[in-house]
Amino acid sequence: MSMYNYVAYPNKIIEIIRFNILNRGIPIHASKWTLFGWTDGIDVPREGEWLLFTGFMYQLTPYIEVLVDKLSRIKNGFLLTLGSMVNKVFDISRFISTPPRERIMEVHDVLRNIYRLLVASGYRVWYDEAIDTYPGTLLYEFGLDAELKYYGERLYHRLKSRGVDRIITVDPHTTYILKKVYPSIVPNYDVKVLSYLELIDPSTLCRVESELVYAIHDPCYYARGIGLYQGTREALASVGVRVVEPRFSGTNTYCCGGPIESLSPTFSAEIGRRRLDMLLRTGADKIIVMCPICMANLRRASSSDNIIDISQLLKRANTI
Amino acid sequence: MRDLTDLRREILRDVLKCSYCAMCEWVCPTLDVGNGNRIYGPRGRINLIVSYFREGSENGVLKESIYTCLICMACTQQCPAGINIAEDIRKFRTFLTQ
Amino acid sequence: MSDILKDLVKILGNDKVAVDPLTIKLYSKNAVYYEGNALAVVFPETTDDVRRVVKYAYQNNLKIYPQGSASEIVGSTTPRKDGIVMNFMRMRKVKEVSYVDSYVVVEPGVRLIELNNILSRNGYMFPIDPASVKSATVGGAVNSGSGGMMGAKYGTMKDWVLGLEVVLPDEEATVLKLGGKTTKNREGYDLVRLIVGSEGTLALVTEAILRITLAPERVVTVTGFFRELEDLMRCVVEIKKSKLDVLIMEFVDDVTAKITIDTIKPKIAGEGHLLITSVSTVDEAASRVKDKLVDLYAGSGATNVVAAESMGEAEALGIFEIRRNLYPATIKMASLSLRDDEEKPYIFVEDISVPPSRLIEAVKRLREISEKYDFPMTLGGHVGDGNLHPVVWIREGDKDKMEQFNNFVLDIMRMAIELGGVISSEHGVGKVKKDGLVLSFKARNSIKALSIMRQIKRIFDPKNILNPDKMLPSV
Repeated sequence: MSMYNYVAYPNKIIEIIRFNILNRGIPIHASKWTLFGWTDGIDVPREGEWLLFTGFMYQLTPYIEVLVDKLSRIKNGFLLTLGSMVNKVFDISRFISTPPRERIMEVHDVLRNIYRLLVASGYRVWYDEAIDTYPGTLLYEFGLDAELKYYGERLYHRLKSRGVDRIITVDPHTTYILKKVYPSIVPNYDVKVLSYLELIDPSTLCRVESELVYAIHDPCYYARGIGLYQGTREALASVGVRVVEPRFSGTNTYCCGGPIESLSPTFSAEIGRRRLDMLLRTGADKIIVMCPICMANLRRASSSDNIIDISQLLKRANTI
Repeated sequence: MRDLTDLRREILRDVLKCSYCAMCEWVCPTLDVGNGNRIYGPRGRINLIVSYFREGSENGVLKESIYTCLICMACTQQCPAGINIAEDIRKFRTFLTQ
Repeated sequence: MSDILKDLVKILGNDKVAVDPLTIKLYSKNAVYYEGNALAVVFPETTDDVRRVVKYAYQNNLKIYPQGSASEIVGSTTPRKDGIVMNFMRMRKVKEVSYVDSYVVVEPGVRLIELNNILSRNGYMFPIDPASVKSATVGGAVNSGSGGMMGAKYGTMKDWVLGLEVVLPDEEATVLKLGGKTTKNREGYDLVRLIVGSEGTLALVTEAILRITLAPERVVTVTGFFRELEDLMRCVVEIKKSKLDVLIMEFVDDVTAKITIDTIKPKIAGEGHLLITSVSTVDEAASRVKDKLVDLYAGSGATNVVAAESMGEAEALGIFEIRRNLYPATIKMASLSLRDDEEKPYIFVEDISVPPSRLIEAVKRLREISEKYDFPMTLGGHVGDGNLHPVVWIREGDKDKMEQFNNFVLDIMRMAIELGGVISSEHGVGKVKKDGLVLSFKARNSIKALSIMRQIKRIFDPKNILNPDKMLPSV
């Protein structure tokens, strides 16, 4: 049936990822430096009021970019079958070549900046490598709710054993899982979860002296998931960023295509191209994203260096 | 094999509210990329789920349809019948991995 | 694969022909329940694609069932297994927009909402706004002769189609360009209007030239509740006499308003029949117009009156909430009445019109009919043009109720005819209202009109391959 060929071997890919999350705590391999290197050189307290929980989404994205590139070239189902068997013994995602160092350093910069913004806004933020973990997003997206419940309970147990009751997240997917999904499936789940974008105090930010015009791309799980879209615009306006709205924005935002990057790389890429086109049609010079998945998928479609994370525009004012 | 009877009932009860009005389709990114073919849109997806549950209809098209969904929830907020479209599709995926 | 399907693939290429049963099933339903079947679904991308399929179908006596979103509710798009579905959703280019000449040239698969998104950037609009505006396509709206909330001011599709490109279901698959780009056009019989509302029975629309108009600078909206229908109608009459430029005049009866308020808990609530009036005006006059409308409402005994000086304000206040949620509320009521989880409710939306002056009588008689058949009914409609949409639901598979339903609809249609109205206003005839067509023409001693229609069908479609068995009752 040549009309339908956008999804190849979903069950094999799902099995590899499921196995990795449940047994290795992470969907694909990433080095320790990638995951935690953002704290190098800054003194992040190990105790405090608000736990910063990265969920590794930013850190894993550079690896996913390499993986998606490889997956889109797999034409032989046998390789994946073999892969899913071998994976149980040896993490095959380790075979994927490491992403460029600069890409990982960019991610570290984003996280470091978010941390500084929160401190400047007056939050007593703490971090612990032993608690931060992958939130289970892909189990959720693949509909593996039984596994997700088990995974969420383990995660919650880990949080409670350290007395965590307030969490700050940095990406929409982690935010949504911890804030909306786990409360409905993990018994007695009681943690206050907020995205850093809901917390930063605009008066602590430094004005952006730029003539550039920015198109804003809302992530689905912020805009539709938790209703966060007005606040981000207010923060950008308060620092003087000129923002334009694309066709489909706010709660009507248009997905970047990223969520199906592993199951249907061709579809995912084409959606990214169409969304990028909508964003560029506004006449904007640059595009603002606030999710690492959106960042990866739109960058994949873009030929120039014109997509930036919102945190790269929000800097702490010097006076603080 | 897991007992999915309750989940089947939960999903089916919701998707059966679909009256085929198509108001969910215009916002769907995958329907657009899928060249307008209904299997790539929310209305198609939830009605394929109905066919699967009620008549056992299944072929490669079902997987193609269900696994291209972004779970982006754009459709859900358009549905006049209040069907939780994206969530139903997401939960249904578990039937395809059994 | 049968020879026919192989031939279609040869004609159009693999990616424009779907033959798998699950896909076909998705193209064999409409927005009520008519589930048909078909040999294949074809997705033409150009007029030439359409022509090549038509030529083949003519030679091989293959039926063609055209459709866009298939969001219609009378059965006009559902296929049978003697033919193929021709879906126009891949022909969706907006080819030309002329603000100077006030027209657009569009392909049939463009959705009305997409067209309006483009026009609104320059303060223009295409004013046909059916409830299905998000799904309805240009081709579907042309063939269904659609209307909408603004019908009282802007009429229906037949008033907005200037020209059409069509492919005839004849031996040569002749392409005709009918009408043109000008508002005035007196070139012989008006074949454009013959195609509008023909429900895909005469020709395949491959392009349309539509009139467009300026969107109102300002829209003032007032809503309120009336204990008696007579008071509401008095208010309607007063508004109509007041020289206000009425854009929208919507009504929801008291029973339905209560159900909807109980179900969805809207921002605006009250007791009685609901009337919503929107008036087109300019910025400077907004406040004056609002005051005048509020006075007219109050003078007719309205309670819980809420007014907005702009569409934005009306949305913020939730003025349209009850009217818009008629359908969700009905679905909710229907679901509650089902015996178990796995049953499916079918929702039927009726579509009669009566002269607005006869509305009170129409509503009263509708309620009598509803009681007679014991069909719980919600009722709303466009008071401005007398178009009423009673809605009922039936449990899937309930044969007794289905039979009663047919009589119920016949009674409603008879009532509309008696009051000087019509049996179909903006939804069409399709498969469900063919009997009504006979009733209506008989009542006017004009049954010959139907035989003229049949002859017209034969002239356009000599082999009866295009959407057969729709709209026209058999002899």
